[in-house]
Amino acid sequence: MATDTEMVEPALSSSPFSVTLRTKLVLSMAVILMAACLLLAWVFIRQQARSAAESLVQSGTLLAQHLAGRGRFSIAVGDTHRLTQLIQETLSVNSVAYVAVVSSDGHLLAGLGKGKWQQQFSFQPMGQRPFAVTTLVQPRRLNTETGEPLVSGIWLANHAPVLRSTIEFTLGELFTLMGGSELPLFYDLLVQVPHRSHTAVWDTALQLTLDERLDTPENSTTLTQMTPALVEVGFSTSTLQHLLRQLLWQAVLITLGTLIGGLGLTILLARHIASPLQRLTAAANKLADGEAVPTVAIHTHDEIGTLAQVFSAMALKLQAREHELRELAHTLEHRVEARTQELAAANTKLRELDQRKSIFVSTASHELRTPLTAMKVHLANLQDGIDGAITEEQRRSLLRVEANLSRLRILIDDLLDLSQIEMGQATIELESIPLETVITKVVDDLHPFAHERRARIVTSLPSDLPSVSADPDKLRQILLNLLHNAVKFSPLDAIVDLTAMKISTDEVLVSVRDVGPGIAPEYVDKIFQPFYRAPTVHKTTKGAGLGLAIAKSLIESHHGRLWVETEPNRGSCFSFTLRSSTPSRLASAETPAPIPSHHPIA
Amino acid sequence: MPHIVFVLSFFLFASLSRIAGATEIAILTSANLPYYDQAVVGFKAGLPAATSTKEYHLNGQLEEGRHIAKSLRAAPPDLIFAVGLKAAVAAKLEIFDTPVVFCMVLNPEAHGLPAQNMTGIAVRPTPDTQLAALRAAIPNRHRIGVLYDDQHSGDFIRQAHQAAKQQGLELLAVAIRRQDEIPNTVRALLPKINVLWLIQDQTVVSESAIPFFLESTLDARIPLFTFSLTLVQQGALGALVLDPWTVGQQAARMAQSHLNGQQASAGVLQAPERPQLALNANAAEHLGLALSPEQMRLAGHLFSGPGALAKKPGQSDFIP
Repeated sequence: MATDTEMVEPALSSSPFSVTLRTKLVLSMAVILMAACLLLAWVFIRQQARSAAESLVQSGTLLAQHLAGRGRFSIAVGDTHRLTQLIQETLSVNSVAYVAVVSSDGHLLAGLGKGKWQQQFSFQPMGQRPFAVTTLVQPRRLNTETGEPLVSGIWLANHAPVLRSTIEFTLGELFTLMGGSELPLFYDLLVQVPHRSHTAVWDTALQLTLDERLDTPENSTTLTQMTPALVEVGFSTSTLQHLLRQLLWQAVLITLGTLIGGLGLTILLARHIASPLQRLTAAANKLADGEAVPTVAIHTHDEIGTLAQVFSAMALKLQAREHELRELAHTLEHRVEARTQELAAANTKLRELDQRKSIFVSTASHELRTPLTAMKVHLANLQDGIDGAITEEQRRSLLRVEANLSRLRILIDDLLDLSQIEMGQATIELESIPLETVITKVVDDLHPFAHERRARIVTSLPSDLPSVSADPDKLRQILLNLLHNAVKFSPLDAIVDLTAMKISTDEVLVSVRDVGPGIAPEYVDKIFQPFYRAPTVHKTTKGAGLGLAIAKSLIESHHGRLWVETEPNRGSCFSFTLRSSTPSRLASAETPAPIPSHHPIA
Repeated sequence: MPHIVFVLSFFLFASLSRIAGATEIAILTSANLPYYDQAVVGFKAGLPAATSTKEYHLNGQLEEGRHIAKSLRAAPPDLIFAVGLKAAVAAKLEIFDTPVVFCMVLNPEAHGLPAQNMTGIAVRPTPDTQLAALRAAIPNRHRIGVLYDDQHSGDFIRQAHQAAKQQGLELLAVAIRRQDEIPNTVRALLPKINVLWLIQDQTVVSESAIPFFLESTLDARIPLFTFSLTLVQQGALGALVLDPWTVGQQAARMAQSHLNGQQASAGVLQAPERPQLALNANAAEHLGLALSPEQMRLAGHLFSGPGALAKKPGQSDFIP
C-alpha cells in the first residue's frame, strides 16, 4: 500500500531541479517584484530627472532671457559696466555658474564665473576673445526665429569644458551620484538678445519718434539697429544632482521595501497555500500506509478548502472500505482454515479408508488365494481322475471351472499387486535388462491368447537398442498388460505393433499400437484409474480394469512415463519410457527401491 | 501710361469739382499707418459736409509724393492736407501757392517746415504745457532732468528752460549726441534729479533705450514723465499724449480758417490741442507717490491693476 507514495516522494526529491511550490511562488514573485520595481523606479527617476532638468532649463531660460532683455541696451551701446552689474546680479543666483555675453560671432563682450569657471573669465580684454563654451555649443544652431534657447550639457573636466551629447544623466552617472560623488555637469543656456518692440501701433507719439525718417519707408516699423548678441548662462546641476541623489535613494528604499513587503506577503501566501497541501500530503501518506487519517482541518473557502473536504470524505470512504475488506478477509481466512481442516480430516479419513481398503484387498486376496489354490488342486485331481472317472460333460464343466479359476486367480493377483503398490509394499529391483529379450518372452507368453484372437504381434526393435534399467518381472508385467489389452481390444485378425527405440542417450521409448475402437477424449484421463472401464468397451470384453493402473504405477516406479495417443475407431497407441541402463544408475539400483504408493482413489 | 491716366482722372476730378462749386481738399498721406488714418478720419469729420476730399497715398515714398504734388500743382485744389513728414516735405517742395495744412511731423523745423504757404500742428505739446502737466501730476518734485540732442531738440529745450523757470522748476538738461552716451549720462543724472522727463528726441528715444529708461528710473525710484502711452503702461509715471483724431479735427479747423480767407496762421506751427494726461497708478504706488483723486479723474488714460507695472515692491526681478 505504501509503495505508491514512496515512489512519488523519491521521484520528487531525486530530481536535481525539483523545487517546492513555496520556493517557486517566492522566486516568481521576487522576480516579478524586482523587475516591476526596477522598471518603475527607472521610469520614475528618468521622468523626475527630466522634469527637474526641464524645470532648471525653464527657470534658467527665464533668467537668461531676463538678462538679455535688461542688458540689451547696454549690449547695444557697449556699456560693459552695466553689463557687468547685470551679470553679477545674475550670478547671485545660487545655481548660476557663469554668465557670458557674447557677440553673434562668438566674441566675449562681458562675462563672469563662479568657482572653477572664474578661470574662463580671468583675462577679459574688450573685444576679440572667444568664450570656450560658446565655441563648443556652436551658436549657429540657435534658432533665432522661435527665440527658444539652445540648451547644452557641459562637462567641466580638468578646468576645460567639454560638450556633452545630451543633458540627461546616464545610468553610470546616476550610480556615481548614488555613491555621493558630485558630477561637474553644467547646463549651458544660450539665448539671443531680443529685438522685441516696445511700441504699440496706436502709440502715435512713440511711433513717430522711433520711425519717422525722411530717407526710409514709414510703413514698416524700423527699430534702432542693435548689435546682435547672445547671452549665455551656465547653470550648476548641483541642486539637481542632490535632488536626483535623494530620488535615487528613495527609489532604492522604496524598491527594497516593496520587495521585502512583497516577498513577505508572498511567503505568507505561499505558506497559506503550501501548508494545507503539506498536511494533505502527510494525510495521504498516512492513508497510503494504512494508518487512520484524522479529518484534515483546513477551513479555507477556496479550492484548497474544497480539496481538503473532498480528501477527507475520500479518506473516510477508503477507511470504511478497508475496514470492510479486512473483516471480509478475516472471515474468509476463518472459513478457509475451517474448510482446510475439514478437508485435511476428510483426507486423513480417506487415507485411512484407502489404507484399510488396501489392507482389506491384500488380506482378502491372500485369503482368497489359499482356497483358490486348494480348489485348483482339487480341480486338477478331478480332471486327472484321481477322485474318480468323470464324464466328458463333467470334463467340459471342469474346464470352464478351471478357466474361471484362472481368471479369478489373475484378478486376485492383480488386486494383490495393486494393493501392494498402493501400500508401498512392492519393491523394484533394477537391473540392466536387454529389452528385446523381455519383449520376445512376453510376446511368446501371449502367443496363445494372440492365437486365440487371431492377432499378430509385430515387433520392431532396432539393432542398437540399449539395455534398460528395470525390474525384469515388473517390466514383463508392464509389457504383458499393454500387449494383452492391445490384443484384447483389437478386432480379430488384427496386427498389434510393438516398437522400441532409443529417444535420447539415457531414455528408451516403447510403444504398443492397436487398431481397436480407441478411447473417447473425455475418458482418456480416467483409463489409468483402477477398475475404470470406458463405457464404450463392449460388455463381452472381459477384464477388471486394473491392468493399465498397475502398468502406470510400475512405469512410474521405474521413473518413466505412460501415456496414450488415441483416436476413436482408429485405435490407440500406449507409449512409455524407460531409462537406459548406465553403470551409475545400476549402482544406485542395487538397493531395492520401494514402489511409491498410489494416491488414494478418490 | 498709368501717369497719363492718373493726370487725366485728376483733371476730371478738378473740373467736376469746379463745375459743382464745392471746396476741394486733397489729402496726402505719407504711409498707410493707423494713426495717419485716424488723423485723416478726424480731419474729414471736422470739415463741412459740402467739402470734397480726395486722398493720395505716398506709400512711404517721397518721390511718389512729389509726383502727386506736381499733379496737384497743375490742377490745384483749394487746400492740401499733408499727413506725415514725407507728405509735408513733398508739399513743401512742389506746392508753392496752394495752402497746405500738415500734421504728424515730429521735427518740422529740421525740414524747413512750415513754408510760407503752409501751416501745421506740432506733434509735441509745448514745453510749458508738458511741464505744467508734469507739475500737476507730481507736485512735490522740482528737479527735473532731461536728455536731448541739441540738433533735434535745442529750441525745445531752450523754451523748456524758460517755462521751467516760470513754473518754479529746476530743469537739468543734458545734451547727448549719440545713444551710447545715454547709460552714463542717466546714471550721472539720476542722483541729481527727482523727475526724469523724456522728450520726443530721436537720439534719446530708441527701441533699445526704452527699457533702460524704465529700469533705471524704477530702480532709482525716480518718476519718469514721458510722451508715450506705451511707456506709461510699462512703468512710466505719466505722459502727455496726443490723440490723432483730435489732431485731425484741429487740422480741419485750420483748413476752414484758410479756406475762409484767414491767412493769419500761415507759416505758423500750432501746438496740438487738448493733449491728454496718462497716469500709471501702480508706478505711483511703487514710487511712493500719492495721486490725488482729482488727478486720476482728469487723466485721459489711467493704468492700474495687474500688468500695469513692470516692477513690484520687494521683488528683484524686472517683469516687463
